[in-house]
Amino acid sequence: MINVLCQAVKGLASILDEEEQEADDAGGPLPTSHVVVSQQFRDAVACHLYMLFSVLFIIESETKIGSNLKSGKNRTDSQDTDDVVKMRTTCSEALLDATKSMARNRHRLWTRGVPDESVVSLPCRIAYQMLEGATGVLARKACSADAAIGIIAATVDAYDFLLGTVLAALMDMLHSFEHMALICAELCCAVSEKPTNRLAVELIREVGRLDTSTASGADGGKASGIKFVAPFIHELALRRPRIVLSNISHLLPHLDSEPYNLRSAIVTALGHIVEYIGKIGQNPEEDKDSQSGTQDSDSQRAGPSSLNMEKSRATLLEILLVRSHDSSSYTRSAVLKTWIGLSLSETIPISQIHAVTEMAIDRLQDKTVMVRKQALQVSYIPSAIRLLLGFPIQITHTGSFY
Amino acid sequence: MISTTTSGFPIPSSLQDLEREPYNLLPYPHDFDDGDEAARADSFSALVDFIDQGNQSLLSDGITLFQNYEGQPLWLQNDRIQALYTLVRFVEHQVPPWLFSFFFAMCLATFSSFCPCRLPENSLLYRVRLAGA
Repeated sequence: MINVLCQAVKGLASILDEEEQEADDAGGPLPTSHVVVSQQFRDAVACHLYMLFSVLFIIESETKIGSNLKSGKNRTDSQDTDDVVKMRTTCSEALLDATKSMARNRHRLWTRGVPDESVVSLPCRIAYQMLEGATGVLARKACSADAAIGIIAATVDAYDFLLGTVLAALMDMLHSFEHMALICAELCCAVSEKPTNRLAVELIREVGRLDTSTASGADGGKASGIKFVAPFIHELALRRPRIVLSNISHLLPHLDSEPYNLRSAIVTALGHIVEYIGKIGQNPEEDKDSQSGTQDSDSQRAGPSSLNMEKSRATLLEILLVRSHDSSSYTRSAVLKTWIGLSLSETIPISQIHAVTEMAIDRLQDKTVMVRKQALQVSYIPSAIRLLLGFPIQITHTGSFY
Repeated sequence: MISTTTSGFPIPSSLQDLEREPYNLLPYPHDFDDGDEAARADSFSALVDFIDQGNQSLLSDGITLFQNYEGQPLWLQNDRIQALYTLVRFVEHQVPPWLFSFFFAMCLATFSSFCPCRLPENSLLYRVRLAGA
């Protein structure tokens, strides 16, 4: 029964795409009076989209109630779950097709390309619910999370006026669900980067605006949700380091904030950025982030930008050195882990090796075992690199702790 | 029913709103036979066939279906919206599988504690078991 509804939605989407293809084949866009479809077609799209939305809403609601109440799992349950997964997959694919088609053909669907907000926001409304359950690899597949990410990305790319709504929803989910940090970072990679990745930039700004004064305490911001928001920073820095570097000024003030999770995430992100700069310095062809087409990357590829990048790297390395004396042992440990990562990727500048080694030796006197353990690895790895590079050093440990 | 001369299909705030103004849809169409399970299944099959026929004409005729020539029926008729709504309602009113299993297990446990013999064919539990199978 659901299949006939999905076929109808796909049929309507394919009609829009066919007309666009015919216009392209005819050698350019048709006059506006010929392009805009009739009110009846718009009504048909709205009606079928709403019915599909309702089916998915029912499925998501039942799944949530079921997962809350169901304690055991038997064969019947797994069979039922398979049926729900199949239904959800079919519906989400049809919804993704319809969303992409509406985004591509907004000038054909609505006069002057001004869409009906209540219609175009429907797919996103259900995509948020689908993502709420995507807690792991298997759950992610079962929830059709990739389709949901595609739906949100297509909506953000096509309708600027919905960016604020999507941002508010994503920030709310980031605060509520631990797994959303990774999904939001992937979503930022899925949206269009021309002229710029607005979703990623706006999310970074929103994180920068977070009020961390309410998150003070021993829970590390767990109650306010900052603990769940923090991983988004380093996940995004891992995937799109150039965007995070361009907007790092929004995040750096949080290094003086109370929640250690946030500080740890920022120093880890700084490590990813330094590693990225080091790698493109060694081999510019590895600059995958700039090849994705961001405007700022194009402007920064010229000669002076290389100098700016070097300056940025020096500043970030300085911050990493200073942060080794953070008040939280967790953050100090994160700093040292970052240095270990940089050492292993061989992206620490030669000029910094001495300072890093001194810092690591200093941290061997840390009061926390975890930090001392990381410091031991940091002090070992740069020395090894130096020896390999032909700069013999003598590490003298003068600390009074041991 | 929807007036096709106005805004067409404004998105309702909830599914239940479709049974009120300006949609005025019914849970089931007037000709829906709800006499027994077999008739009910046949009625649903008829609804699915009706929607599928519309899909076929959509695929074959394309955008011309929506050009309002005089005398030509509109593709998005009230019957089609009603059929779609009934199908969505059917999905909503289907007992969730997890709840069904729980309910059936409870019924069986309760019944077997009173009467461990074979379930009578006309009983509710027997029909529940049949539906579950």
